Amino acid sequence: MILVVTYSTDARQTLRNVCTAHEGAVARRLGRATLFEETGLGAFLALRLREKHGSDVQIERTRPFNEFVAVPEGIRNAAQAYEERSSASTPYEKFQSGTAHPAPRELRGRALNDDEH
Amino acid sequence: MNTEGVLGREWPGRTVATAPLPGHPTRIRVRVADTVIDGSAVDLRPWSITTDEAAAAIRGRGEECTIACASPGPLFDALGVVDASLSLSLGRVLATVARRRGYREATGELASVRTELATLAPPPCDLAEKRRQVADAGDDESALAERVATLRGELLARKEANEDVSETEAALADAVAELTTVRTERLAAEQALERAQADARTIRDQRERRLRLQDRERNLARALCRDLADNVYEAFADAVRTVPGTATPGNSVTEYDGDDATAAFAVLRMVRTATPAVLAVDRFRSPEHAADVLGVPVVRV
Repeated sequence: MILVVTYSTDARQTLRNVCTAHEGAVARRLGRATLFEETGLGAFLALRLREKHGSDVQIERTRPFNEFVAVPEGIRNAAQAYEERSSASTPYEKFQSGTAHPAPRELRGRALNDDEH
Repeated sequence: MNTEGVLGREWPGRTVATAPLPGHPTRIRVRVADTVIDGSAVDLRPWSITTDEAAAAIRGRGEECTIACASPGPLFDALGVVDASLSLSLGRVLATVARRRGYREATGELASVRTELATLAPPPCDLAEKRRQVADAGDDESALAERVATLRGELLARKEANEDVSETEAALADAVAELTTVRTERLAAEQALERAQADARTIRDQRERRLRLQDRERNLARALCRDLADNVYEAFADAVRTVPGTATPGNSVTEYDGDDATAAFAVLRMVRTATPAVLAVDRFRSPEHAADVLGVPVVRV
């Protein structure tokens, strides 16, 4: 999808107007940001906003998140295990030490798999 | 009895004049066609003067009709013409009235928000050129990769056919060398874009901060305006009950439940300006009655 984030009151207002006028092109409205459908119309609306508001409009392209493709199993297991921990106040770093779960430093440096098929 | 009027006392040196006494609106002089009318209530309906023409006359820009009166202030813009299309921002108007009565808002936080806003000047973050370079480099690379593949195929075919391959080999070597160069350029362009994207994040942080401050500024200003207006709300509510209309004022500016004309009448009655009000609604028995209730000179159109 096409993510449009606005950074000024004027740009935010234009985004609102555009979303109201083109509901069919909008996948999700998120306050001052919107996910447009990945279509020519979605791209057209996003580019129009940037033409009008320049640096106050950020456009990014998103893609579906498939954790079974993009995320190594160890990370998935770690997330699951941590949410099942017995003590809610245990920070992740303490939780994982002495286990096979990845350390926060490892997680930070780890790139995800390319999930394009 | 004080004869200067409330505003005259609080704003010495200001040109805002007020009626000397409640119930005695200032007299104005209206000239329309060949007729001169003096009084505190002037009925212009026989001359078919429009609200716009009457307002222009009060602002000193009348053509068909001229009116000699105290020059209008900001309140005249807001409620000087009472007709069916009147749209009043009651909070803002009552805040203006409160300010004229000497009330001041506590602008501490608003001032600091505005000071910070004034210092924020986020630079632009336009990465279009860098994105274009990445796209162009990618196109060049694909074209060359295709050429290398074609030449490889040609070389193979020539070898199998026992033809001379020296020219093809040379062309292939050139294409491969060029592909290497173009690939390096593409990687460089991608890295430059990545660096610029990282820088853009800082700039967007600043823009986000600015947006939050602008929202804060607007909310603070609105709240201050409401607080300011509430200082005079009791007086406004009293006036609402005195003027014709069915409004229920409630206890604060957010509770007002009624039409804009009634609110405008109440504010006019509160401020008792020497500047006339233009009335184009049937709420009073006569223009004289209107002037009497409102305490301001009235021009009926």
